[in-house]
Amino acid sequence: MNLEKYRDQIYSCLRCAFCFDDFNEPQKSICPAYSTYGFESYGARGKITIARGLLDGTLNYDDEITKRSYACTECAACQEQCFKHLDLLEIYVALKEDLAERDLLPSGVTELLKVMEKFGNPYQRPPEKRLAWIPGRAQVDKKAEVLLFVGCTSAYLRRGMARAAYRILDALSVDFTLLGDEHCCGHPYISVGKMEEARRVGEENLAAIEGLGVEKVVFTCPGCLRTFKADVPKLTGRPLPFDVLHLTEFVSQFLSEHRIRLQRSSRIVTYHDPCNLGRGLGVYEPPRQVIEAIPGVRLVEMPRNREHSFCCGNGAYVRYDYEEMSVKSELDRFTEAEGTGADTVLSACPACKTGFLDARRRAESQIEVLDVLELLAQVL
Amino acid sequence: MGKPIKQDLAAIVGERYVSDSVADRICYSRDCGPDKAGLPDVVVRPGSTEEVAAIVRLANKVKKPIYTRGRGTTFLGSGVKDGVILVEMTRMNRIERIDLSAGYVAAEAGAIWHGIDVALHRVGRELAVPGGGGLFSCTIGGTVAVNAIPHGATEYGMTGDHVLSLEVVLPDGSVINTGSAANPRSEPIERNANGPDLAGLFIGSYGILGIITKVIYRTRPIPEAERFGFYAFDDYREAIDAACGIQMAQAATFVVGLFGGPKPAGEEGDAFLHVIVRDRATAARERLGEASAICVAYHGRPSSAEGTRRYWQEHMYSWLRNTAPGPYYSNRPYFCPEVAGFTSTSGLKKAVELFRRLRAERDAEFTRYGIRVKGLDAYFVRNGAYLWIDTLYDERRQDAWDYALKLRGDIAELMFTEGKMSPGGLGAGISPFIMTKLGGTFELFKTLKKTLDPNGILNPDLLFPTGGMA
Repeated sequence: MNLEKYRDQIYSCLRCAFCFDDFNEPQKSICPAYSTYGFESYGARGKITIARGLLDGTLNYDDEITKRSYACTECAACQEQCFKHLDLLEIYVALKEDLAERDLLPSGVTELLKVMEKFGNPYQRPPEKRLAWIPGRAQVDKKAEVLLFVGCTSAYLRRGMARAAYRILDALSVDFTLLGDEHCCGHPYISVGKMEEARRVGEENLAAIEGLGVEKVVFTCPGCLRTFKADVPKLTGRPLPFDVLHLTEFVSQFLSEHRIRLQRSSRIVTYHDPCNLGRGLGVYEPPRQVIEAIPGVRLVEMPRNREHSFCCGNGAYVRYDYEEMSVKSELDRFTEAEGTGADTVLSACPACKTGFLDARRRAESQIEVLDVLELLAQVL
Repeated sequence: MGKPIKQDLAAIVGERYVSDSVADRICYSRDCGPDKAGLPDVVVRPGSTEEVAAIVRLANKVKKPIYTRGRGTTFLGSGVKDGVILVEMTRMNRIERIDLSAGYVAAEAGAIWHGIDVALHRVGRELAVPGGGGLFSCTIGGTVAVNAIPHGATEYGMTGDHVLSLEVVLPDGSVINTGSAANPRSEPIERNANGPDLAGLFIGSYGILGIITKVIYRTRPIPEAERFGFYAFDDYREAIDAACGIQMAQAATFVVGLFGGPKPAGEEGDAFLHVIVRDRATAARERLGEASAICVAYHGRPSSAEGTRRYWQEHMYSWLRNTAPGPYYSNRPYFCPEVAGFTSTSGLKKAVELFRRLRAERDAEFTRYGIRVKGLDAYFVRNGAYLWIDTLYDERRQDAWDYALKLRGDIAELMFTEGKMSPGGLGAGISPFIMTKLGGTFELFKTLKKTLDPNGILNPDLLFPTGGMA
């Protein structure tokens, strides 16, 4: 039982209920699942109660446990507010590992895994089309200082972000390359508790990247970045032989050295902190530094920002099984963004952008949805 | 449990607000304390007073007890029994009105205490007692039902003192309002109107006489200034004398005394006082000066009050001991079988002495079972002190758990007799040790319960045995 590793932490839960409510925004919950479904079992205290019940033998693994355990975007808002500083996300993954080992997966996740096995990405797109968006093959598989790891979502669904990243690196005269046979980072496997598959993919990616001899790997997708930074070393048992960072972090270094000249853009923007980038990796300021470096752009913060940000509802592949939760969360966050009076809502994550585009359509809104990288590419 | 009750409940609140899945039910059993509790048959989340009333009427009809729950953040025992209906109130979380001219907030019972305070802060006000007692994740209805011991109690008094009106669903499903709000043409501005203080019947009654569905609570302007003092004493009796002097002089908003447990980091001494003063700037400075002079007169040594400030402003107890929450609370599988109660300030000396003696006598047992003393802390209230005797045990050890519960009983017996203490919050874990000592008062409680709730529907057996059906 994978949960056994976390027995001490599970027993340490005080049941204080700090993991439910937003203490800065009355009547709002911090948890997408709890705020949608309402029963404690969908929130952190409930999940830990369930985990303890499984450890103690008062509960058995079954579909009801599955239903609640996978209803989690891994936004880490509960962990941020945890009174006992528990590693809640790790406990959730262990719970999902136990369920996966018992073939107790939600139907959508089961389909996702089939797609991953067949296509190597969650979007049923042919691998040979992964780099179909690049202007030429000159940058592919060459020795370079920097690798742009595109990620499945940017490569297949949000190609504007991939193109923007490419353009930025090109404009900054960075010696960069791309993997001709880039694979999924393994994040979907970790999210659903399939750790052996995640380890295998991690090994393959490491080997491919090491072959290029890069010093840095930059990402457009915080999920991929977090997987490389936090999970791959643990899964493979060895430290990364290169630095990894989000492209906004990379660019902010250029900004601090005044090595970029940007054109003017008259916009009022608000910025949504992606959970994996913000709470997950503590990267709050670099995207803001990029935004604020653009002449004419005014940044207006949402009431819930930085570590208090609310999830867009599109993390951890919940859309496959929990569409109601996903849509509710993205609309909640999108409404908050609109409330700032901004004409553009920015994020730094292809999954967040996908969610906000859906929310804009549902809300019939005129507000523009962009990634920070896309805005930056426009003003280079 | 048969399906019909779930279907009947779903007909009242809607299907998505009822669950009989064990994965849900297990989450509504224990509170934060050490007492094991039963598993309800069904959990229901009403969204309105009318729905609560309908649930209560249904429970009477089918003779199935109800247990009511807010956020479940007490440490005193939820008392939930197997086979009951669990009514969970947090869906009713609306802040209905903030009346600036009348100085009150009207909120549904499931609204989170701290959330209400945040909403009030935006208009320059705060709840009349700024800390809802214990964990600020509590609901306002639950806090009032328990009459939690609040922060700021030295000057501001008890949680229940500032209730202006309650809306309550009685055990037969009827709905009443207390105070001036009992007159539908009046407003909820005065508790002591329209006859006896009926709100007092429900404050601290732990939901056995009615389900509180709405609370009208007094607010106050946020004070202009907050000032903080911290003093170390070599003799706990002098610390208590100093606190008494501060009380008499009305020199502080809140005084917290530490008489046991870990010493504040970097400090030496036998006892410690945290002093918090909130007032207009000039008055706050003067009052803290007076409190400081009193402490010094009793040989208190002033020290850095940064921990005091952080405790007050960040709501984290660890700062009482100059320690950040992370290092203090992380990865500690300990639970707290607390015993707490009111005593006179002079009586506090006796209570502290009694516990210290018990601790010394049981040193070998404490060692054997890994029992720790988290704190022997007192909130000084207006006419006395509220002493928390907090021990800790490791819940991974069944023998430690069993011993800790026995220890709680022994401490309760000692303190409620020789220590002359009377508990504030009760709950299923503590009430057995006090109720039978109350003589005619206990008989009156039983009569009230039997009269108002002849079917034993609401939280039966939680404060005292009633022969509930559960």
